[in-house]
Amino acid sequence: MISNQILQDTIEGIKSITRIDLGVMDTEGKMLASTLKDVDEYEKAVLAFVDSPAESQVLQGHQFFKVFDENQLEYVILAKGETDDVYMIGKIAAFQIQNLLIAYKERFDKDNFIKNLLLDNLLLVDIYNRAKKLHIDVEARRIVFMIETQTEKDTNALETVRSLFSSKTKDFITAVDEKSIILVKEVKPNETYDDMAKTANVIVDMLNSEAMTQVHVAFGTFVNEIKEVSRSYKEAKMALDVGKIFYSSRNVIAYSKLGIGRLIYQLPIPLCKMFIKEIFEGRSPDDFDEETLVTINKFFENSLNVSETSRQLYIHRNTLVYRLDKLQKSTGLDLRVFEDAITFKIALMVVKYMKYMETIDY
Amino acid sequence: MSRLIIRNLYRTYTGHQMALKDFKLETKDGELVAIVGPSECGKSVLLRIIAGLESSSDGTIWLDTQRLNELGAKERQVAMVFRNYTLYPEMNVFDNLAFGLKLLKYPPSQIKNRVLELAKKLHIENELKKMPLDLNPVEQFRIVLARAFVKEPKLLLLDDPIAQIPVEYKEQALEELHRLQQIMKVTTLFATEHSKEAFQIADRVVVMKEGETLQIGTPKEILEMPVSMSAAGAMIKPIISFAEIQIQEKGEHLEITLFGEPYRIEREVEESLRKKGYVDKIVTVGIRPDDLEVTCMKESTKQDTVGTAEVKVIKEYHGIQYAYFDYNGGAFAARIEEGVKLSPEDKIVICYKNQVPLLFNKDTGEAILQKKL
Repeated sequence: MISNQILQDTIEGIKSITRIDLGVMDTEGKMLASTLKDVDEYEKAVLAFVDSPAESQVLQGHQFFKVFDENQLEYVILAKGETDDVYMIGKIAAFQIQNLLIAYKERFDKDNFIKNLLLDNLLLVDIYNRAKKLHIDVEARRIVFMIETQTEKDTNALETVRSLFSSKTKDFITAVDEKSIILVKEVKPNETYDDMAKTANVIVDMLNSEAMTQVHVAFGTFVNEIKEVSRSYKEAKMALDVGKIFYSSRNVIAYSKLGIGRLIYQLPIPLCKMFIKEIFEGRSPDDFDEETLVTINKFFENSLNVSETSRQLYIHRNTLVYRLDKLQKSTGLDLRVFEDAITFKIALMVVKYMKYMETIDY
Repeated sequence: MSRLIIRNLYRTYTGHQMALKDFKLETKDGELVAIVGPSECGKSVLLRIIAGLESSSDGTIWLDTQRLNELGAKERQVAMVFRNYTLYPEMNVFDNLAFGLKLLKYPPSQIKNRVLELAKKLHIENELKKMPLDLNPVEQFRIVLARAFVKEPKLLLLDDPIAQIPVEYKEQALEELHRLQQIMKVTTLFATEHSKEAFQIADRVVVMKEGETLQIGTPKEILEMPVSMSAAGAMIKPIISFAEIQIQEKGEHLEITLFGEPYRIEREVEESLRKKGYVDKIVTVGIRPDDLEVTCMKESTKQDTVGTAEVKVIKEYHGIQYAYFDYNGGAFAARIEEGVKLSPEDKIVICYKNQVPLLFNKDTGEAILQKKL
């Protein structure tokens, strides 16, 4: 459960204080971490010690100690030297690693609990019982952030997120799949969605600069009870999806601000197909060239203002009018008319949605 | 120390206008280049592309002899500081500095050496054991910059890092940034919305608008010789006003009338105006707040001049007072000299005092007097 790196750090730390060489072995005599040389020669001695009932023993100029995890032998610690001092240091090392085991176990238990909570794998009664056992406040105000990295299993990203929030042991950081990191954050009663957006932006900027990975961050809504945390998680997940489809240039997406995307995301595909067929009569908006699409988007951005749009596109007003006329001929929709413009805008979004659904079908 | 060379960089998003259009830049070793423009002008996109966090649609980026386009963000030897930076709250300054190196899997002894060496160089040895909460915003900012420098990058990218610093610390933070950059001599691109920040510390400034580069030059060149009305508008703060005037022939000289006073055009400028055929033509003149001197009417001796107006408001911008007033249908601002007391509704006398007026072609918006840069 404890990584070998942590074990190595621990004994190196103790060695740097005491100048005594130490090693940690598993019950099969394999060296997991060590400051000793020639690690292979201890295997036999360790196996003999594992089988003996003694808690500590001196063999080949080394002292051996046992570390248990709930009465199950987990590690054997070696300390080089036969003096009483070495015995004391070896004992301390064994005690330290024993406590690391307990701490890790608790964290692992919590992690497991949060994972199951997010995935709705727990009965309501279990949620409250286990939360109480793990000293997790059931009535705190919380929100779930979902952080999606570009590369799978990005340990640097996970480390960075942990370091950003580790101070608050009331926050939980976990992962339920390879690509995303989940942060369940406890928030103060006076914190708002704007504060959450700020936190999300900090996560984006820090992962960009420290882990050097591109990320998208989404967050759900505030929940006041632990049993609702999974709802906030599902919202964050949906926000991430909706953001990817409709707002690809945004790095931070809030479930509370999904706009029309929220509605379109719920539509059944056959209905979308019917709608698109009705509007474009069998043609796809993909058939429009780049220039037309840029024109349309800019026209929408400028609230259907012809002069402002032509200025921003560096074209003459008449050129823009000509393009809009041409579009009207091919689709029957006049974008200068509010009703047609809104139909067109929604149609473009529906097409984006349909395309996205096609890509994830496989 | 490195040179960054960017050629013909483009970035387009499907169905949207270009975020970056034909961007070109060649930096010198250790140069500090500011990229200035309003939000969404393409400066952040540019930095993200250089960092490898986003891809370009076209163009090449070179760092010395290495082509960056194909390299991942982690291999580019580029460090970044963004607007929403923070220090790891639970770690002391030393661990904050070491964290990035740990992620890069450096051995502990090397990390320690690097951090200590850098701390000595930047004179922050005494802060290594402090916790982030014990530092003021400028000190925190310094550590954030140090955290970027400790990776020994060839290039440092700063995306509006001053934005979140409280107003009263901004000036100091900017100076600190300049100081550290001078010590480390790392080639730096610094994106900001505020031309003042750029003018204060940059060796050169790139002015951007809607994905396009309007002008590249030293702060002095841009302040004194903006190439177009939009470059002038983007860079000169708090406002630059434009007025249309006629260039008139007066005897042997050319003259323009500003605020009721005739103003003789310098010999050198005159030649160029004649050559380009602007005599008797209407041109646009750009009037900067620093070009004007205003005095209260009561104190002024020239009671009868036509260049008078009434102060509408007094506004402060970066610690300097400006008087805003309307004149002949246009809105202007003038810097109030120290010692001059003005309040709204005061009658003022306006005097234009600049040696070389900023003249633009009124149709194209391009500067008439352009120094070839």
